[in-house]
Amino acid sequence: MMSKPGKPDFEHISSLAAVSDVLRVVRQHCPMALVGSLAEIGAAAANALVPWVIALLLNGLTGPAHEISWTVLCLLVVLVTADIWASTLGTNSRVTLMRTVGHVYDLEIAGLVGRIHVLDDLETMAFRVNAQAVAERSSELGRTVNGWLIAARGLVEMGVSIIAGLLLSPWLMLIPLAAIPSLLLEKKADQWDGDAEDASAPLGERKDALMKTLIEPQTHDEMKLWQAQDFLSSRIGPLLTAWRRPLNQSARRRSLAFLGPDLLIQLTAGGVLLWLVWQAGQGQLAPGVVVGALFMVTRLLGAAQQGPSAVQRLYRSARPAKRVLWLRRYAAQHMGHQATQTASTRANETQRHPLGADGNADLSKPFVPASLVVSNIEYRYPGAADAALTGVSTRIGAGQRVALVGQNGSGKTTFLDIVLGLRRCQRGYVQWRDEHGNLAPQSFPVRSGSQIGMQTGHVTASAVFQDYVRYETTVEDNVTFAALDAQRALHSPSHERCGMLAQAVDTALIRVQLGQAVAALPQQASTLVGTRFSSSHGLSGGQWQRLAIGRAIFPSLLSCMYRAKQAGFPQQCIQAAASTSPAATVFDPVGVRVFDEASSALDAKAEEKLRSVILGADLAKGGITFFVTHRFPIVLAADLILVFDHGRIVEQGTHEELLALNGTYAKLFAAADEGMRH
Amino acid sequence: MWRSWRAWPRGMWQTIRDSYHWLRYECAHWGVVGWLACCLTVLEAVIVGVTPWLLGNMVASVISQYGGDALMWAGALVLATVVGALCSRFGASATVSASSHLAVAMHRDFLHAALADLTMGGRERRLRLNRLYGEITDSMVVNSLEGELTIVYMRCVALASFAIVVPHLAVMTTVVGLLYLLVGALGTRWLRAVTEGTGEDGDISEYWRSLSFDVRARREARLFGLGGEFAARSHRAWKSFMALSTRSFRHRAAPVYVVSILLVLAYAVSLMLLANQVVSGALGVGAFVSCVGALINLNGFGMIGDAAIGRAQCMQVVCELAALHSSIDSTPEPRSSETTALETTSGQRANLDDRVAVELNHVTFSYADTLPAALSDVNFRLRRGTVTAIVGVNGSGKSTLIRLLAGLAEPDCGQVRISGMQEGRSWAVSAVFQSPARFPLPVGDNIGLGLPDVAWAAEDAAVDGQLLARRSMVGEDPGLSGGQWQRVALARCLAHARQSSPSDGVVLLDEPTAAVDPLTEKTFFDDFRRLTQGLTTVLVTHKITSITDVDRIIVLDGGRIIGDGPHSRLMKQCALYRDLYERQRRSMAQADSDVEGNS
Repeated sequence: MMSKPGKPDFEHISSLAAVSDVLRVVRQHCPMALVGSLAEIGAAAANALVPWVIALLLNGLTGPAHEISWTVLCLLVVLVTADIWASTLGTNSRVTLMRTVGHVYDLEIAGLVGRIHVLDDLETMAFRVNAQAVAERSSELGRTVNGWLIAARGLVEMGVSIIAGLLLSPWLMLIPLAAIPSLLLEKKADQWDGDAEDASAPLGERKDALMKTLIEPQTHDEMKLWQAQDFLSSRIGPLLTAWRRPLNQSARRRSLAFLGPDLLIQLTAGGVLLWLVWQAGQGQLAPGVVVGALFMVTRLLGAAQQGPSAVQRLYRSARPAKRVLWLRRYAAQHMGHQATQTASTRANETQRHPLGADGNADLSKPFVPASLVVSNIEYRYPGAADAALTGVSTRIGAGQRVALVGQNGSGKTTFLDIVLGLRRCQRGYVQWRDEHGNLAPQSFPVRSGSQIGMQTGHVTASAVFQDYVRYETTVEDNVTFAALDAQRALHSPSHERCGMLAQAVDTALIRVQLGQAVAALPQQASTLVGTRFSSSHGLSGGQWQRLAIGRAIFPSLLSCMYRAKQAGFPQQCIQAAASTSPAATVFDPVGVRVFDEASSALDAKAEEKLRSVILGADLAKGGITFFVTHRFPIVLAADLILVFDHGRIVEQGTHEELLALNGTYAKLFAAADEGMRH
Repeated sequence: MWRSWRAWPRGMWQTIRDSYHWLRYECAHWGVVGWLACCLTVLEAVIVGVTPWLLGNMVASVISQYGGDALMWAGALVLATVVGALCSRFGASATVSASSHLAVAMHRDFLHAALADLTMGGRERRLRLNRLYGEITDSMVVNSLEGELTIVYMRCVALASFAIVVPHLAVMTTVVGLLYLLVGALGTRWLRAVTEGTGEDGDISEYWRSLSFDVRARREARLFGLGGEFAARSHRAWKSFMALSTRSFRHRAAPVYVVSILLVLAYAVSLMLLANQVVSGALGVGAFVSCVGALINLNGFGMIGDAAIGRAQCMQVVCELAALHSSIDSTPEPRSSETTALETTSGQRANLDDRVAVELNHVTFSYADTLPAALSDVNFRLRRGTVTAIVGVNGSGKSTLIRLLAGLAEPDCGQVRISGMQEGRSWAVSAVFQSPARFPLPVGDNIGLGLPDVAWAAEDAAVDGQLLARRSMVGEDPGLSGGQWQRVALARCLAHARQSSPSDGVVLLDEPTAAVDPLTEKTFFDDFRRLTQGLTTVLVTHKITSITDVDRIIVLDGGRIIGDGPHSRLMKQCALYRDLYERQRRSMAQADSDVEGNS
């Protein structure tokens, strides 16, 4: 049932389906451009009639009356001008089409990747890698559409030429027929091109990765410092050369292979030409017809030369579209599949969530986790020799604060990923239960993580990850991204609700000690932050980290304020309650929170102030807080400490218990303590 | 409309100049194959241009019943087309190779510009480079040569056609030809309008799209369900980008349409005149056929617009690259010039004291004029071989100070002087930054960046031996953890510091152990003395309790030095320092009591 992950197999997808899919996109998104392009094709057809019109003209000239037909001449002018105008219009339309199609597919692929809820196991990794490859080439898809239209123009021109040619002399038909070997060979040559592209694409990606690093600010600084320019160029140089080599080879091969078929077409055309002239010399053909036919010969010759590659281009350019179709099908099969897979790894699961794989959790009855059982889980990164986690088991009750300690690379982050449902463990299971002992819905917590039950004020999960994102947008967006649906709901026209969103953002910023810093920005919370755009303002590392913490606590703040309001508390009271942590516990909902090295960039003073936030002092009952830290003052406040070493939990318990064991934890603690006690 | 007309001559001039740049660039980079492609294309074009003439002659002889002559002309025609076809086929192959050369050359140039640009720094520049790279990869460099050759081709066809038709209808065909050329040139400009004047919306759209694929962003994107939001934002920005570019496109399209009306008129008039001449007997039927053939050949000139798309993009990229290079060439080396200036102005301080490794004189620095100074009037001297710690709360200017010391930023006023730098030695300063650079290269390369033997440095910084042995690219899943990266950076710093100056040198450590576990951190601080033996070390850290034994501690607050001296003195004199220290002590004291309670 599972296709082997890795190279996408899209050859069986019909080109027709791919083409019609692109046409659908075009029809939906830029119908006017399509009209422009069709006009261009029509003009090409008109243009193909030119030799025939010339024949008519000359017939009159060389006929007995020896006069020119002005109507026919006007027709000639009209045909030629139509071609000029339509091709100008067509260029315009094609540019629009090109860009629109590329963008629409880009977005679709991005959306598909965004729908993956599990981080990379083999399957999703294959999907992501393929999606990325397709996205890299989706601008090519735009170009492809351009190619199609040009090819279509050529083909229409050829078709009309053939018909007009038949009117003049049947011998002309020999020329398109001579193009058949060329067409057959083109199919093979296409294979070479495809192979060459496949060979060059990974090199191109590596080149891109390296080149892009060069532009990043921190890399920039260090390159300057180490004067690593020569070294980096020596690394990129060979890549650059190798990147284009397969393409050059295939082009060379192509030109040699087509020598024979080309000559065949040329000689056939030459033969036909000589035959026609001979016939004219014998007086069997009218001079006008001969001239028309001669024009037609050159035209058909061009068509016979270009035709096969145009046909092949049409066929081949379906490839990027096929890739997209493949991705879409794969996503449809496996993203649904993914949900069931996660469910089946949970042993003893008897009840299915009524809403099924799509994870539209029932907002009116959110799942409130009260306990977590992790049993004997094992996780191995795709392609890694050793397992990152082996035989990890633990049991965590409601309201506990769990600290994860251990050396770098001992599996703490992987464990959290699995607990949050961001990765699927390969063995063992993770079970969330609510206070009545009911199992969590199958996709808990990752699918419902963003959903904050506005009616009940429940938050399921939020986190500050070690590699938190610095969103290059406004401060407000940076904070509210953790509760998107609430954000959307509150951005409704109702003024009162908007006010609450802003209030919650302010409160979150104050809670993470960013209130003053943000107030000093030119547009306060609406200021663009980051380094990427010309109007954005830079933040320091510590400020970014605080912003990330603000994001993590935002959903519960918002829902707490919302519930307080529902309960009829006065405005000032709500804000006051939300700003000071102990009082907030009255309203606060429960959930899962993860702080992975959330205070690594903070100084002692700031950390102390944020400690209560990180410790989840506001998660009064039921919520589970995980934190990974190397700073022991935080560890000491934990109810349960899990000590990781080489992918196993080697010790677990409270601080006192662990010290009494005098094992790994005691060693770590002693190391940290010694540093402190100098 | 009027404005676009008025800007027109200047725009044309710019286009011509850009074309010149681009052509020169091409000629320099396409190599032998490129010339071959060019020659083949020109040959093909001339043949196509001559074809109407052959055709006309053949028609003339057919009409006048000279059978033998007609066959001769037909034979010539066949020969011409066969040669033309061969030229076309081999020309296409040569074009691919030549365009590969060009693409590689463009990448190389960009690489050099990006690397040479290091001295300039600055966010604006980085933004510019970023956009430029996007254009290089996006621009149809590969197809542009084909486009370029199409243009050459068409022009040769036109010339060849003119040469034959000139005696009969010189003026009209010239007008038609020139108008065609004008359409081509305008088309180039017109298509350039697509990328101009659209602001940053394109970049914004691309940013949100790329976030969907970002390895770092995926955890949050998945947990918070942000995938759809990224796509929506990308689309929104793109729509406004399209709206703007379409508008500017329409504005500039007007001249093209006007010229094509003229073109049609010229076309019609010349055909009428030709026909009239034939009727009056001034022109033979054969010559008429040649003329019509030539005019129809010109028709292909519409293709120039197509060819111009890639060409316009490439032209822009090349001009940008050239501008970048020239601006780099014209900028003097900032640090060295400043040092010489200092030496002349302040004579007695020209040379740093032998014992002093680093000196800061009244240094003030701010990131932007509108922002308060990140550092104001900072003075200190560091003795050679000592260890200095810099402490302070977030935002007190510690990292800025490190950047200044590393030479990554120039002070607004005052001087930063470092002993090794004057002797022109590289890497007199080594550093570990808060977020170290992650090159998508093997770990060994990441550490060495060209240095031959780095195993010892890796060992010192406790980088896993297995990682070091891995030949594959890092950055692929599972990748290195944050702590592992930090160790790599530490190893990199040590390797370079020792390589450049085994006995002295300046090492800057900006929170080297922020994401490192306590055991590694302890190893690091234990080995700290040994690792930095003889090096002048500046250490920024939040873990004050681990640095009480360093030679000197500088306390920064709000960009000013508020405390300076060894730990014991600061404890007495500096309130902020005492406060920070006490806080850490206190939280640790709790742990201590726990330990005592247990034992």
